[in-house]
Amino acid sequence: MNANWAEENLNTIRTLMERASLYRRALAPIAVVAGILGIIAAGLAQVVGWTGKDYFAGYWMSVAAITGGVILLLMYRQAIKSGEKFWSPPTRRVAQAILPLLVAGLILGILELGDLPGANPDSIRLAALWMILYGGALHSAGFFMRRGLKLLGWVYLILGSLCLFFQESGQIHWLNESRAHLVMGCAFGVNNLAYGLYLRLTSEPRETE
Amino acid sequence: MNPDFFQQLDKVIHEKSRMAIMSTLASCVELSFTGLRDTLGMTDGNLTTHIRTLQKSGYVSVSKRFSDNRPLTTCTLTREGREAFGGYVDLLEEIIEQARGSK
Repeated sequence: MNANWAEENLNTIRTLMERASLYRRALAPIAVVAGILGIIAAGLAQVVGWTGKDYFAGYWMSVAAITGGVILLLMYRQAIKSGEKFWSPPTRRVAQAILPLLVAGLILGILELGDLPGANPDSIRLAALWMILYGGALHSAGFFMRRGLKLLGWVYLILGSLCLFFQESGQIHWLNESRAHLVMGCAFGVNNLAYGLYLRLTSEPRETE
Repeated sequence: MNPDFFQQLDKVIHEKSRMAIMSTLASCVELSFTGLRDTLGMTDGNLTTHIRTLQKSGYVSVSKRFSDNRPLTTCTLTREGREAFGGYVDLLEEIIEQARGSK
């Protein structure tokens, strides 16, 4: 036995304590709120008729910004309620894990807005790429959280890839510009809502002893 | 290094799985049995055995109740458990400090 062993044990204890503190963050309300906002945003855009390439990227980046703000507020309230620091080390690690891919999504959206010469903007393609990036971000966050987040990440990665494939191949005529908001609503609204409800319904796990 | 340090280490906590259980519970008010099992990636049987050992030492309390008509078992660190865990961590830190000092 030596000091290295003691240090390893302390590191293990620190990691486990941080992981446990992160596990307690209630993801269910966050996913439900994100899902509902996604569905409302998709429905609103479809009803009002904000369809087309000119609106798509700006509209959904605004929705993402509002949703992000609401999520941060929910997380802040949760932290205050449980008497913890909001910007705790586990929260920082999750933020570091998801940030690169979310920033990539933001850059893609800005480029789409920029209407660059020679570019061929396509809302479905952008939605598919956003799904892939979001899925990657969730999967990365899943290494520091529990409860099927990595699996949800895979769902987005697969959905996004399929969407991109069918958009490029043009095999599904239904998948066109006029349904881009619907695709976003299903992907980011329904998926998040379903995940949130799953968490809510399984939030008190059954005894297994 | 002072060999007494190692003699002083709490033998109940000083086991990989039980140390993991204590560490996880130390950062929670309480945690469900399944939550603890999933967090630590342990089997039901293995976790039950270690929880029983910790219970016998008075470090962990287990309560059973119903939530949404479903049985729920939760585990909590007792005051003794929290103190013992704090003492264990302090001792580890002392070992490291002494090793650094003797270098």
